Amino acid sequence: MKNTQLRLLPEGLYIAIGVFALALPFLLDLYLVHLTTGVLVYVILSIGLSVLTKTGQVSIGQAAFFGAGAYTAAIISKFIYQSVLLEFVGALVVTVILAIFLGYVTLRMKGIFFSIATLAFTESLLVLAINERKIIGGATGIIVKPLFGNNMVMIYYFALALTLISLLTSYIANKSKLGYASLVIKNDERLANSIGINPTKYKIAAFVISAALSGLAGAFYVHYVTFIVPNDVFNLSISVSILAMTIFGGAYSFIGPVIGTIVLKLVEELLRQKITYGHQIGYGIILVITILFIPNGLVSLWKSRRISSTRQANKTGGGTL
Amino acid sequence: MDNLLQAVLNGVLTGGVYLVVTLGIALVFGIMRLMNFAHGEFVMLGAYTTFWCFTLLGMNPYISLILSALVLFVFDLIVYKGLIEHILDAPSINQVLLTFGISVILQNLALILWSANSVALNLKTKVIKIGVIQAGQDRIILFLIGLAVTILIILLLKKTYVGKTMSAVSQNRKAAYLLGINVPFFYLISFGLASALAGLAGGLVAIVMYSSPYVGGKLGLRAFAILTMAGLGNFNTIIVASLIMGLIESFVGIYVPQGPGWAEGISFLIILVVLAFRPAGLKGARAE
Amino acid sequence: MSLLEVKSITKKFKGVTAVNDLSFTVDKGQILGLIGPNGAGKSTVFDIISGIRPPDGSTPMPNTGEIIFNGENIVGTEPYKICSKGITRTFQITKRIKEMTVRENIFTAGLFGKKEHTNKEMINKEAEEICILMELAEKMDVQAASLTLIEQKRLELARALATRPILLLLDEVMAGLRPTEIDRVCAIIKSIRDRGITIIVVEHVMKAIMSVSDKLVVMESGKKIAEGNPRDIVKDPLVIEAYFGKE
Repeated sequence: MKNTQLRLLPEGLYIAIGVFALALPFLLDLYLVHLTTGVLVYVILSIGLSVLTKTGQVSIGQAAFFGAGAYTAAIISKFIYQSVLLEFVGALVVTVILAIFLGYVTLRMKGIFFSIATLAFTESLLVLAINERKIIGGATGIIVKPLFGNNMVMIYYFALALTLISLLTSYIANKSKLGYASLVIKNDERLANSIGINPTKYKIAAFVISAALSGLAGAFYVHYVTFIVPNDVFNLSISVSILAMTIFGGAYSFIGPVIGTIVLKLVEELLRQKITYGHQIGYGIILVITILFIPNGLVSLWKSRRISSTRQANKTGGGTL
Repeated sequence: MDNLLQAVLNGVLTGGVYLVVTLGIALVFGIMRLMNFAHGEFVMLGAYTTFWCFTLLGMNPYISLILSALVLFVFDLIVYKGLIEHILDAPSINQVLLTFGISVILQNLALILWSANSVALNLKTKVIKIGVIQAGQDRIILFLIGLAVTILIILLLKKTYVGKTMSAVSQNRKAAYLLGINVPFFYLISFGLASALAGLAGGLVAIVMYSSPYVGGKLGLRAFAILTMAGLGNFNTIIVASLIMGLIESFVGIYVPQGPGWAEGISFLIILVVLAFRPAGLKGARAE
Repeated sequence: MSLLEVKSITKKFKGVTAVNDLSFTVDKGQILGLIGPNGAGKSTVFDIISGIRPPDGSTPMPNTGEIIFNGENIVGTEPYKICSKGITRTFQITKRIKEMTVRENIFTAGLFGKKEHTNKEMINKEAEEICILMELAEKMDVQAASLTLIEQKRLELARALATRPILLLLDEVMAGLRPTEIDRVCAIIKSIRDRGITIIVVEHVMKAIMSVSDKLVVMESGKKIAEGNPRDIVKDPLVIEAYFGKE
């Protein structure tokens, strides 16, 4: 029996999207470019989260690493040396260390304890940041220089590049042993153990990757807005909205988080004029409705339309496009 | 020395409130293996019920405790039937996400309806002095109520037919079905019972502490820190762990500068420290 | 020296003694049948040997005793390490990754379970060979979600084989199968042994266990009540009493 490979969107569509993304600054006015850049930050965060959700773990603490990356970059920029490369490497190092530590301690436990720990971690960092006045200015915030002399177009391309790096990371992770292990772990940890998978090790690896990508997003963000206070970044509502966007789009797929983020951010923008507050409740409702009706996200609606097909073992990994 | 004893008393009294909160979570998990992220928000709703009963209706706070329990019982039956029942057999990630979503909805609903300001009952309470230590009469009575309810629940589970059936259902669902036990009904009752506990706990919180949309999250965090210490299997250890939690908070509040501001951090630290030094995991709470 | 030596294992939980001072040995290349009435503690023994937590999440550590595998006491070893030491178990309720194909299920087990260094091509090739051996060749690229019960059992075996076990623990693999299917699985079990793999089979289906086992260990209420040749065991009055009660 011949089997067709599963593709969510035809290759042509991907290329079209890519071309559009590259040409965007020339097609839209600067305000929209600015907006898109903001959306890209969320896209990067969602992609990062999806690497973790593939193992079946829920992190409500992406904001913690987002903020850690932002403040690391800010501190390096202000006190050590102004170099984008150094700042990003610094953000990576800090978030990776934090994730290894937190993950090693909490990922051996039932999922909900891990989730609560990530939440508590974010709140603890928030309190720490507010109280630390000397270095990071506490609640009064910290200022850094903008990238590229505030050239909106260059900043957008930088964000786009980071997004591509995130997608590449997610793709490679999925094709690697981590991809296979994640699917087994999410399904049944006893099974994982019986075939030689160390669930904790791979959960930590996924957590570290998701933290690193969040840290990168944070390091970019601080240069993008040039001024942050702790509550801008160590904010639970960021974690909640990222979670909703990822789950809504498709937590276990490659392109799902991207789609979910873009759709929900668009909706948020459109509703912003009419409804000035209450976004958070919307994200809660989306989470509930998604889990009850389309637990595998928007992308699963596309898939069910197509003939149920299969993948060949060593051609595609545990994920789907 | 006076300070120390007072700290101990305060800690014990606070621990009693945490106990009732944590008990509800442990009950639901024990019977249907569901971790309800939204339990803290149920408590929050119970707190507001008591608050509004007192403020709007002038009801005696102790009577409104019963009302809170009832309101939450009914409200949560609806939540259970409508939302939670469907994911009882789903992968645990779905359970975490659904109950978390519910908690977000409830917390924000409270924010929209009642604003972020915390409100207190401001009861004029008689202060009872025992030697060098003192406590409000209400606090003591409520502590005793909480303790009594806890013991009642534990006895209920061990001694009565209903309780034993719940235990049977929790251990082997299929066998229970085969024995003719209406499992979905027992799940419903168990969830309702835990919800009533949440309502009661909320009432305790409203009287002894304050009500706010954020109180659910704060209590939930403490409850999970307590469960990390106590493990999920044993109600007796939960009693001890709740009191320890109350004591730790009380001591940090008095002896550490800026103590009260670190309340969340304490819970987080407890979780980390306990997990770090008991790497074998805690009974029942370990990932499978 | 025996391949596996179970020495005085006792396991208690919640006031019940599931395994009581149990000892037995398994030699290389043997097929050992572990039998006994329901509740005798057989699955618990597998949990203890494989180090994998029982479904209720409690610890698989025994209260006392040792399990010597290839000369080494493996009590307390992490379950995934026990797999890499060479012990693989199957589960009574078959576990398969429904989103993967049959081939991918087996491939994944080979990816993580193998003791020696291999590459993806070799693992894939071996997965194909195992599919053929397990009579799953036609279903190789079919989603595991759509398999019949006997196919699921074969996949369970295939997956275990992919980890290149030295000792294979089969947990009630015959449950729910028809007589002809049982015969097929018995033949497969023997062919697995012919490949040099030692096997412990927990089973209720007497005909099956009699036909494959070289040696039987009979348990009742956590204790070993008989051990030896299948023909002799079947006549043992203690065994008969355990299954059928006193005359």
